[in-house]
Amino acid sequence: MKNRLRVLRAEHAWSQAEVAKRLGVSRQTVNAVENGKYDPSLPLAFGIARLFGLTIEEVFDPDGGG
Amino acid sequence: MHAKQTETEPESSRPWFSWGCHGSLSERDRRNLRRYNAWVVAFALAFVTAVALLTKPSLGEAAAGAWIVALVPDVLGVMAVRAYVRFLREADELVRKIHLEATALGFGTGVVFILGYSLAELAGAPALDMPIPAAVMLAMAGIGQWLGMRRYR
Repeated sequence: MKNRLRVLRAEHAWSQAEVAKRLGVSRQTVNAVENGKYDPSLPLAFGIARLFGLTIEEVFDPDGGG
Repeated sequence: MHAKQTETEPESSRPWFSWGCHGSLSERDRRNLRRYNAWVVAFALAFVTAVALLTKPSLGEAAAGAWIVALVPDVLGVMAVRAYVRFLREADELVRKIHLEATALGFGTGVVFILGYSLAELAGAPALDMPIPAAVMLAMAGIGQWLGMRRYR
């Protein structure tokens, strides 16, 4: 599943570690989600969207591969 | 969602039983993994000590003492299992996924090994010592963790 996490993180000038801390997950999780290696759980997906003030659909593309 | 700290800690400040507690783990995961590692070390030491004591004829003949020596590692092993379950329940979701997949690999390989070797014994292979399947399970779980960490890094 494709996502815009890397772009959104860059727009806010946040490091992966900073995003991880704000979400309460490991930096490895943020990195894996960013690279499309890991699809987050629903609570984490909501948390990511909420962190950037967006909806899940605006962050994640379920039709995208990855 | 509750906040967990993800700061890394300097290598020199880590206790000696901190293997697997790499920098990308949250502080809670590192703490839980250290607790599990400490129980595993205690179990391993108790197991080796129990084997050494129980193979001595003097203690082997004292039935009550022998049973106590034999049961102590089991208690420590149960504590290690409890610590690992707690680690999994509280772990970061990706860390939990990696560990569950590794545990499945270790368990599945162990079952196949035990059942497969039981057939091999019927075919004439030498009898297997009981700790060997456990060692196979642990080794495969360790390999599974290593593969998981590489896959999602």
